[in-house]
Amino acid sequence: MALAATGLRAQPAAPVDSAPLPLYQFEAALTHDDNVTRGRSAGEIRSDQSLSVRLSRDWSMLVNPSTRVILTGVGGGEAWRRHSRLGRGFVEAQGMLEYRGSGAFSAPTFAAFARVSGEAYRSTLRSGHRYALGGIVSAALTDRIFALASVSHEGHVARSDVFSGRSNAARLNLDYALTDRATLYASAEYRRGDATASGRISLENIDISKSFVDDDAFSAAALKTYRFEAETVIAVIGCNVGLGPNSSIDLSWRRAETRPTTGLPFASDVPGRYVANQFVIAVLRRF
Amino acid sequence: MRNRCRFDARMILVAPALAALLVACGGGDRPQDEVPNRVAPAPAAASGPDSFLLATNPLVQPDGTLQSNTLAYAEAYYAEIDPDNAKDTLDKWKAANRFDEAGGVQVSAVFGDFRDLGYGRRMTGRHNTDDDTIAFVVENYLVNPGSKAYGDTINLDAAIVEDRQWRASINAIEYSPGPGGTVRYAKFYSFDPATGARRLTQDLDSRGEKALPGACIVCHGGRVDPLEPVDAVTGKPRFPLLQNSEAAQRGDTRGRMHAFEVDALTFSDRPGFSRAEQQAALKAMNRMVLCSYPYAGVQPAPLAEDQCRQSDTSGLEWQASAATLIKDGYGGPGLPDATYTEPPVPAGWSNRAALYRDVIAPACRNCHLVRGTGQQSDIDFSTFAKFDGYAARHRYHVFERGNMPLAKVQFDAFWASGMPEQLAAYLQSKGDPALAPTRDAGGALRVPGHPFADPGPSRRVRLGSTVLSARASLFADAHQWTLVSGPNGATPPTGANLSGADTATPTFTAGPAAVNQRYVVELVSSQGSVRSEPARVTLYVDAATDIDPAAIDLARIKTLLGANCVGCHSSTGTPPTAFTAINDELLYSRVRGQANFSDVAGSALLRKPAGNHHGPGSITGFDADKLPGDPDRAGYDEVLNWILGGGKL
Repeated sequence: MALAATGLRAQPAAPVDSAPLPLYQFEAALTHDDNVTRGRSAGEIRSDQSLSVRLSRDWSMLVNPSTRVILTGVGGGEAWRRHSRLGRGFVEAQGMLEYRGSGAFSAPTFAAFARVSGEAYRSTLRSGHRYALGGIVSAALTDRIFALASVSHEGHVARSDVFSGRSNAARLNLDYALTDRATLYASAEYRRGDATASGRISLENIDISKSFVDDDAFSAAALKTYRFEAETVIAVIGCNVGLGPNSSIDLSWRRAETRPTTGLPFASDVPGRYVANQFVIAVLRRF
Repeated sequence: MRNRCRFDARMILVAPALAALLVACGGGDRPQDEVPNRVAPAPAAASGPDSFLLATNPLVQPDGTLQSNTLAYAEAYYAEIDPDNAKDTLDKWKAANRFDEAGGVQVSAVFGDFRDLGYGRRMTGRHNTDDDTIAFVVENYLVNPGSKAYGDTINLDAAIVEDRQWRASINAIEYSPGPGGTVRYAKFYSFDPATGARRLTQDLDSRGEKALPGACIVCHGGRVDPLEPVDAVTGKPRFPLLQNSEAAQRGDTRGRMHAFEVDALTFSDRPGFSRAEQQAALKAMNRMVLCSYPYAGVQPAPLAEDQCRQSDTSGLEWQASAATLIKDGYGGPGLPDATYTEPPVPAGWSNRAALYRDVIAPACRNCHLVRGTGQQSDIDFSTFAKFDGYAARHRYHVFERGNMPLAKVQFDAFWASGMPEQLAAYLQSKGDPALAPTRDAGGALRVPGHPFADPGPSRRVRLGSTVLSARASLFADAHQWTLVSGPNGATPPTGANLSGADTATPTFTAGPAAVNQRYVVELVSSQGSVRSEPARVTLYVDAATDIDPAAIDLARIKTLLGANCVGCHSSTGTPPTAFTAINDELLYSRVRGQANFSDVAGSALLRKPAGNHHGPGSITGFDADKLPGDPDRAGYDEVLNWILGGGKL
């Protein structure tokens, strides 16, 4: 989603007393995921659709004319059509410290954030908590283009060791305002660290895995999910169209390609990576 | 500050609390995460049978260690077959056997050996046709060693792609003359998969390291005989010499190569590795194996496949029972068939075809068919009559001790199948309750690991005190003895008593009234609340003063041997073990090696003269069917008491 729509954009700290910002944001999204298992070969790949909702509230506090703190509370849930045990509920809290040195148009905003969340899945393996620490720099490049770059470290502690892990990520995002109401956006993210995939027991999967578990979310397919060291490139393109002063609809395509960093010591005809595409349509409202 | 900028601390507290609540609601048991072992972990203590890949007589030493499973045993072996360490690395061994050189025949195949050891195996065989030396080297692949197996195909896949992180071991067999010799025989090697250095031990089944060559030859037809006393020159014990070995070399254990029973192997559907694509290589390998089998006598007009075989002019070697298996697998003499097919049930098993097909062929044949000698080959089980002669041993080894089948993978497969019931049905059909395997209250056969009481064989005891022993009992840590009956079956027994009845070593005390009387003592062994079936032993109280086990020494046994055995077991005789023309120290090691201190009744020193699978049949004085005290088993009792006394020098 466009940063302007999601609130992920680090908001300029000055001037702080411009028009009041809405406190709440509500999202409802339909997603089609063509590889919900994150499988590498045809027999491992399953697609599915989900419906998710998310409600967040911001609390903003000015520290000084250049610095402010934004606290965000989020709650939400997600339900999947076929793989119901992927369904989850979550709550999240984020704190962000923003700094903007001047009110000049192109002055960048620097931010540091910390985020914790708790998730309860219908799958007993995945429930746990996540945390993230990171830094953001953002700036308007022109009156139509807004850019954001971030680095982050994320961790996940789940009931199963397979779903626990850590990763580091770097991300670049560009918003391009087509009109007053429509924004095109694109982002690219590089992530390195623990990743999970599901599949059948095979030498290729065993060789790269750190640990395995019989996945209760894919028990019908008798798949095991395994954790491995990987690098992931995520690309997103989307369009956000305003439906009114505080509402918008957002269409996006998210493509993730994950490749193990542990190479196989032999030639294999099993794909060395998995690719997942997500097509999302979301409605957002701020109030 | 405006309202929207207020810091609401309550929300910051509420959010994590909600998160924690959600996490707690995840529910369910802790998932069974699996972490693949890259290196086999130290084996966990086994609670059940754990004698896999050990000889049935592992040569228990006075300190309780098993001589056949010591580094000294392995060192003595390699000192004989490779005294100059010319083959102490894989590369040197391959070079010595001319692998990858021009000429000869060299073939490779990759298959799963999930019947015996569970490996994916990459096997290369070489036949140097100029001197008919043959060598096989095999890389064994095992994914996740020591833990959960991920299925047969995974290990096979690892072998196919040579995924060396899972290469557990490299084994080799070489069929060639020994140092300075001319007669070819099989020698067994294992090399470290990382360094290529020759190994003295190997962990073949994730149950811990076991010394070579024992871990190999126990299933390759080899004999496990005791080391000979320390050599004055080297200061080390020497590997034994088999008296009737055609090679007459100390490294000839009589081990053999196995036929490749293609039906028992598994294959991949990956291109190049299917069964069909590897049939030719496997046939070439089976030809090599056949070449390594001795040919009885002189071949007047050998078939093409037999021309490379070595004549056994003495007729004392193993008579190559497995040659028939290979030939029949390829359509008979001349090996006309391109592909291997499980041969028909042998004629000697025609009346028990189902037992052979369903139990013997999958669970016993592989090891047994390469055993035996020209003089005595009952143990090859090539006929039902031979197999049937071991009925009591089948019950003991399969259903009580649990060291048959001899490999863990095969043992587990056996007990997960219908084979135990079929074998039990055969034993029950013999009509002797003592042969029928025990069953639980529900009627199910008991898997070995259940307490088994073994008070030892019935015997003569002296007037006065005799210490009994439950040390041969299995899977038990508590024992209860009962003096069941006395003279002529009298109950309660008179003239004798039992003290320490709840110990492993109670004392049976016989008074003067007990002389020439028989007493029955019962032992129940238990592990926790699980109790064994009772086992009984008959004790005959003899007034003779010379039957104290502690008083019987080698001199007494030597007298018995002189009277009964050395006619054949001489330095010019034909049995594998000679008892003449040697000093007492060497005689002692050889005689003691014929006693089985882990299974006294199974000692060759008792069973052979008692007529079990013994060339000349039974020896006078060794009639084990007679009760203790009977003159017809005086020799048996003498040897028995010597063994029970620890085998005194």
